[in-house]
Amino acid sequence: MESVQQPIISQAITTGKPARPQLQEWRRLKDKLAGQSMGLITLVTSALAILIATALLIRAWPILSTSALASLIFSDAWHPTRGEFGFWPFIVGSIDVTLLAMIIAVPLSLLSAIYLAEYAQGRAIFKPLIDLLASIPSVVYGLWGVLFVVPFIRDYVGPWLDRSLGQLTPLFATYNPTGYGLLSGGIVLAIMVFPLIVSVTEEVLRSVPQGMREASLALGATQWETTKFVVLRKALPGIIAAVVLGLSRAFGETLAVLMVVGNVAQVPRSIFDAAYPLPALIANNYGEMMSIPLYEAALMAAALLLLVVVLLFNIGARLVLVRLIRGE
Amino acid sequence: MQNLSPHLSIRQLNIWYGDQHALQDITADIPRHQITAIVGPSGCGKTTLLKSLNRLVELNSNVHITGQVLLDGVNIYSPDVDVTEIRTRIGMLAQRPYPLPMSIYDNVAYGPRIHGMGTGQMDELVRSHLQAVGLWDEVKDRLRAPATGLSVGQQQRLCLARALAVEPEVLLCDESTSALDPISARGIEDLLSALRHSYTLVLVTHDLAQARRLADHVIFLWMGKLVEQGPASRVFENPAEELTQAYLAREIG
Amino acid sequence: MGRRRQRHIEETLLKGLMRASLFVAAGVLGLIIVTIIWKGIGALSWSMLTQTPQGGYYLGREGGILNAITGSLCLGIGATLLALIIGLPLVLYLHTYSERSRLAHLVRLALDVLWGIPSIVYGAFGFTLMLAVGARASLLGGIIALSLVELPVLARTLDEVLRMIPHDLTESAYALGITRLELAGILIRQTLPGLFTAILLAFGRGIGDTASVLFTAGYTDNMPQALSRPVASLPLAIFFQLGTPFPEVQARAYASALVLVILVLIISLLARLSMRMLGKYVVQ
Repeated sequence: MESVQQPIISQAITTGKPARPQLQEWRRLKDKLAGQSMGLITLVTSALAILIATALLIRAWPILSTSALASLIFSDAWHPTRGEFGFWPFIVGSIDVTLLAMIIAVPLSLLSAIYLAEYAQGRAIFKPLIDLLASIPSVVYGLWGVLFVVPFIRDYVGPWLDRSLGQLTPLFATYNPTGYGLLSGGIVLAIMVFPLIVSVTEEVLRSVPQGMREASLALGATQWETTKFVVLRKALPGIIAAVVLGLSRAFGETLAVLMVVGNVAQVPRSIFDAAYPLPALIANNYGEMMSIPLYEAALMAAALLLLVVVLLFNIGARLVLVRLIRGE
Repeated sequence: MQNLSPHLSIRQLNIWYGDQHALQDITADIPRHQITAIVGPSGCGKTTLLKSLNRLVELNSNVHITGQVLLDGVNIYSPDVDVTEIRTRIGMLAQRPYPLPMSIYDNVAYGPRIHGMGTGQMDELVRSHLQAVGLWDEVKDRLRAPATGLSVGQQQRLCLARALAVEPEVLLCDESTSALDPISARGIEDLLSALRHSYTLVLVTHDLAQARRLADHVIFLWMGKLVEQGPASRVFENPAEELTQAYLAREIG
Repeated sequence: MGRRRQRHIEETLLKGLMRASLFVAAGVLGLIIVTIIWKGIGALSWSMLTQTPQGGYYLGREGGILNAITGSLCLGIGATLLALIIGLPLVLYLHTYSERSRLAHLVRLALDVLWGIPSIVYGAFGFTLMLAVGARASLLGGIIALSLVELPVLARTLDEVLRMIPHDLTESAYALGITRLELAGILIRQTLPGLFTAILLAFGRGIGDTASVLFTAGYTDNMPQALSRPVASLPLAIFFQLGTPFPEVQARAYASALVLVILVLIISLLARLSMRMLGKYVVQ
């Protein structure tokens, strides 16, 4: 650690007499102690992610050491009482609902972010609204999903798509008429990640130097052409990072999805099918996991998988963003 | 026959940024195919005046403009004028080079492509403009490389080639050499000097020595007001106003 | 000219799409709030707010959610306090002892990454800690897990706030010969409203979180009694009431959601006001 600078002169200036060496010693000691304890806190916090991964690994070890990793990941046989733990339906369920959410959220988010950053006419109104969306608790989103989205899918979207596109491809066919399924989960998730993608993308767009925009406009380009050919191109790595952050958030969201996605351990065939994402699996079964052997280890393994995926996405995205926004 | 009418005419131009009256009642003429230098101390409104000539000053959200800027007699601020068209006729070279996030080739081709110019002859167009700024030999083997790989001096020349590629009539230069080392700066100066026979140039500079070297015509601004304008030889040797004299003698500003 | 019109049409079209996206977002927000108010206001009553669930509450009889409201407040306050104890020294350390070093860079990255970890993972981690010490679901367990969720929010916000202080202030302070610890004190006093904002934002995040307290805090129909006993929370109260087959109880779920949303809205508003005050505090 750097040494403390302690000009005695300063004490002389402020008090008009030479500093007492004991006071200096005391200040120096306090400073050193504080520095060391704060440093310790900092160190532990920075290593927290690793600590958590280690703890989860330890508790998941019974199942990780006894079953082949491939069979855990790719098997779709989930019978805890028989000791069969195939995570495949849950992994696919997570991927499907996340992907669906991103398909809905990304165009909306990017368009909104571009408008806020480049055209900015109603910014004073829309920015607080988006922040408000971000602060709504997930259980309220889930509740709204149950009250509004699920009936909407069940009574309107499901039958309509089933009659039209559902005849062409099983992706849109309604095998599950309850409304609790991938699409409901996707819609609720999309709204939840929208504020995140918008705010990060907006920050990235604002980091593009104004001189670059002026150069394009001075050549006779319209504002949209400037946005399309110059700003978006320069900001592309950051925009991708913003989307990755949103994807990671969607992947880890638990309660809102749990309430509307149906929670059936199957590989979904259509967007109306029920699914069972990893976080929902963990949340729904923590009550029983202590009573069945290996169940706890399996759920901890699921949590570990979730952590690893989210960590990879986050570290990658954050490294890109830091270079773009804070660094250069 | 040579066209002796002014290329640009500024008539009673007033510009406010919110409450700040940045330009007060400017009336001036920019002669055709000459280099006009706008000089004055920092903050006197030089850049504001320059940017009002291609309407780039409108980018500021709380700006208010009254008066006229006439390009060959037509007011560029008239509501039925297409601003993107004005900006193809009046180009700009900024203070710092801002290469667009694309290859060297695409930088030069950017303007023409947007306006649908030079289709089928883009290679030739890019080559000729890079040659005009003296960059061709240095970059001809790496046209597809990102423009950010060039040195600052090369980037500014690229920006000049880019600006010329849309074939403007007027070129506005906002202290275009101040971010460069002396050798690159001199290179740009020489290029600008050579351009005056085919283009009308308007230069903003705080470097009086540069103004003396390059200018045919001078506009002197002080605190948002136009103090004096006229042929460079007269203004520099025999200034009509005391303020001009004081500024030239480095007593003020 | 055909091409010019085409360019301008494209611009108008895109601007329209952009505005539409924003309106969709605003519309959804309005829809959510209106739905919650409409469904919840009917079942909201004084007894709901002031009583704990009596016998048969989940079957439709008497009681209220006071246990959950106070439980959430206890969890939130405890977790925010814990997050503050860890987060405040951490951020001050970043700004005084190791300002420009590589370490600061890494720590900020670590905080950003922690911010992105799903709260269910923090809940599972809290659970492993509880198993390790042989504890059962309790208020303390919930506080610890929740503090992990709140810590990145608090630390990042505080970090952004302290970054607003211009560097010359720090440098002139050093030039006068103060220790780094003393500088930390000055920094805090300079940005007090910013500290409030960070605390409020973290608290708001905490009372709305479910997945972390799911494993660790348990649930009870009683008021919070001790750190070692389970405690109720508003999100879980909403969840359980919604899960019953009785419409009267489900209606109470909406009312509970309304209470939670109002709470979160008030906190958001206070945080925003605090942030605005910060603008006047910080020496520019």
